[in-house]
Amino acid sequence: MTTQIGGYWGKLIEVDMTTGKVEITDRHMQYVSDYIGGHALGSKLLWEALKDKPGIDPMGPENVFMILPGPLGGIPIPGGGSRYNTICKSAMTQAKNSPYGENGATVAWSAAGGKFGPTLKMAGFDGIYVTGASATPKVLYVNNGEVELLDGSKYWGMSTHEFEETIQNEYGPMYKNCCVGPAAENGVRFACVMSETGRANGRGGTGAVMASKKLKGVIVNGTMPVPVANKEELLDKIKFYHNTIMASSNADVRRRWGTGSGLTQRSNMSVTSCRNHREGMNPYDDKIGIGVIHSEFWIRHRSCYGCPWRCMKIGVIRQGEHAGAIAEGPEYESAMNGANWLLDDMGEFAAIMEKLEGYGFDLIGLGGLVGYALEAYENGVITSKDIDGIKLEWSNGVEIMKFMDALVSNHTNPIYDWFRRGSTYAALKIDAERKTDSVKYAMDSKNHSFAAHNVHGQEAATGYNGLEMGYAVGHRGACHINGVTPAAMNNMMIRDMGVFCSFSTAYGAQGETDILNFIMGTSYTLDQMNYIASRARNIEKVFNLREGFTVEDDTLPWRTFNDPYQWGPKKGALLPEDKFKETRKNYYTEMGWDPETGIPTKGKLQELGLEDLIPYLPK
Amino acid sequence: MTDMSNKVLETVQNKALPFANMSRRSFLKGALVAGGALALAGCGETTVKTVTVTEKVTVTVPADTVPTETKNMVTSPMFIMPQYQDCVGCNICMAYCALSHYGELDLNKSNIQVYGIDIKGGMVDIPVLCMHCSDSPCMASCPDKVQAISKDEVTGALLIDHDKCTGCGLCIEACATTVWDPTGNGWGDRKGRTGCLRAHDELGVVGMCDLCDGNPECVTACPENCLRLSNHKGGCPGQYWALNEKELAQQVWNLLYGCK
Repeated sequence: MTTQIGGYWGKLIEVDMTTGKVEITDRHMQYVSDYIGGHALGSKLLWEALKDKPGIDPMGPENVFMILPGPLGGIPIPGGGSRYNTICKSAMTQAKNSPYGENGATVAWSAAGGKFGPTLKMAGFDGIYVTGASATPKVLYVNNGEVELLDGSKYWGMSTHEFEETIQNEYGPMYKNCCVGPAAENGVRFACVMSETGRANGRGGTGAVMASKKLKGVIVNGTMPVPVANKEELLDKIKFYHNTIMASSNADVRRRWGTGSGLTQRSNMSVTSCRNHREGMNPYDDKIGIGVIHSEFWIRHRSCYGCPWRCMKIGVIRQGEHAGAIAEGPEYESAMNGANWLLDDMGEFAAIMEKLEGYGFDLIGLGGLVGYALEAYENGVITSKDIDGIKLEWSNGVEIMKFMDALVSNHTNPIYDWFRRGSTYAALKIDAERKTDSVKYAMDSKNHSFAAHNVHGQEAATGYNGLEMGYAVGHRGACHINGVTPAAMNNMMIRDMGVFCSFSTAYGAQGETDILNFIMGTSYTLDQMNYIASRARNIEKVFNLREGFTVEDDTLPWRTFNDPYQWGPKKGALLPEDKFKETRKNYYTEMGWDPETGIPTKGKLQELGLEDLIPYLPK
Repeated sequence: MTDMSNKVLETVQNKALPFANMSRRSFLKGALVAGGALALAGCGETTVKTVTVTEKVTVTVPADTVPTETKNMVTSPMFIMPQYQDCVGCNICMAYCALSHYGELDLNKSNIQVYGIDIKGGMVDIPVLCMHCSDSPCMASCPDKVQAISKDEVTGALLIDHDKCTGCGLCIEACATTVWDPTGNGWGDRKGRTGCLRAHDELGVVGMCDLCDGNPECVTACPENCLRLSNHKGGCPGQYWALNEKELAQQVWNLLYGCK
């Protein structure tokens, strides 16, 4: 393919882990003008790879694992140049009644910032496409156009922090890397791909899939200028967007607090995740809230590539039992590990964050699972005898850390095999064995944990409530950045095509389209971008339907409808189930799908030019 | 509300800045012409001839009192001193340097390099750039036949002529923080320079900061105000200059993350 589109090299690294063969292809270029890049392009590539292979084991060699920086990767436009997506069939999600049993899983994608994505782009490649599975651990080495698959046995078992430090000492400080940690290596499904010690492609279990291919990490050095359409104006444009982003309304908040200010703010609004999502207000906000974090923990800021916002915070605990604990965060989603477990000690909170970064857990997935386990322990569904003497009590950070260690290293007790698969999976297994009803408080949708936003107390604004639609119908399971209305979901997809940061809201969808046009030398209109986004969303929907997901899976757990807040300013708040079902029906209608079953109509698919998907629709 | 505040803003601007729409140069010209006219008008009463003010009126003013059109940030020998603990590692300085000097986003050509270094999970970002040593060992080391390196008389910046540079690497050696002993003794003599010079396939040597003719792009661009201009009057701060990026990172790490 000789099409010249700015922001693309036309080179994709394809690695067959089974044979160890590395090829440079242009597999993605035929789709670039129709799917732009990032999430949408990845979904299309995944669909093309797996459309005739439904129900494959996501942890098996048939699954495809992709690392895709967007067309802006490597160009220091704030919020755009730094990010990359990991895409594969999810190792995490589960359908209730799939014909493929436990193998029925959704599409998974997850974005992260930092410097790995842009460095990969500057090394002369548009992404990495991994198939097969190796017998021995490997690392992929990329250096300015060269690619090599190296033996990675000596790195296997290293924590993400150790890996980062080892690579820097072996290769030099200009080398960036992404890697999986011990959690992913030991079969934990909610494991992430980590880079620069604190950047995580958290959701969907993409790290577990990467580890299942025995790919420990990718080591990359790149200094080549990414081809862009309008080279002469580049410096002026970059300056313009720096000023835009620095002058935007939330610049001060993000620069100073990152997303951490939400910990206290949303607790006061009673919409954060607290006590395994039963409550919305954190009773220990004076102990682990943003005031304490700011005064006792944070010591410096850190940026993604090319962004002046530096919203990543790094802190160190200087005194007490956990002195010396260094961790990135907490950001807002860390409420899943603080308020959600009712932690009341900043030292423990920091030590837990350090540990989960080192292991490479998805902090949201871990938050949901441990939240479930804590509640099951409280209700006597599991006892300390079941989990090797660990006393899983609320607020007990030290015991929770022992539980985290056991999740990674305990392979003798079969209950941990269930826990490694996520909360609903574990709950269903435990319930079947013990005749209990603990699935009621497994707070997830499609076995994919809720994020740190509670849906109980969120007010209705425009017919849609807070995040309940994002959680219920999200294509990777419960998802807080999925969008709430069909229009918002399209906007989120446009953002993920870029791949733009969730926080660079100053651009808006139109601004993002302009930036993409400038870099790629194209002239998409916003309508066209929405059309592309709709296409990608419909492909994902058909992918999930074909794996056995139905309208029964597009729902929320029992607690959301039946277990009201017991404290806080919104005490008694609930989400009415009938109203939720009506909203879901409206959503399906607005998407052009069948309002009862949520299956895309043939007319809608034809309108989007996706006739080839019609044979794959459920009968 | 917004209309109201806009109006208020407009009037305030109009009052406070009568020459808001004039560029510096036209303002200056206007002032000079007006001054000339006044002077002539003053004379006009006493002399017989009435002089019409034309555009050709010129007034000679001593050169050093005329403000230059664009004000340079650097008017005497200076260097850019990074405040290491403030760097957030956004790499904006690198991008601006590469784009403004070479017109392309080749970060390897950038004269400033920012290394993100991980120590025990605590990341530290270390900018490494030319400190314009007053004794300039790189310039001294450049072979007499080549003489690719020169010094700007006003800013004290070191300028490299990439056409002349042969890429022999003598300046890189002279600029090193420490020298590698090939006989197996490890890192040998400490030279105490920044080690900012690097070999480059196409250009020979890169890393010499030219201070952008007095208006360093990186200093203006740095969102953290981490890169600051400093002069040589106080002598060398010394300590940091003699360290390579890893040793520097350890020092900054001790400062930031050190406890107990």
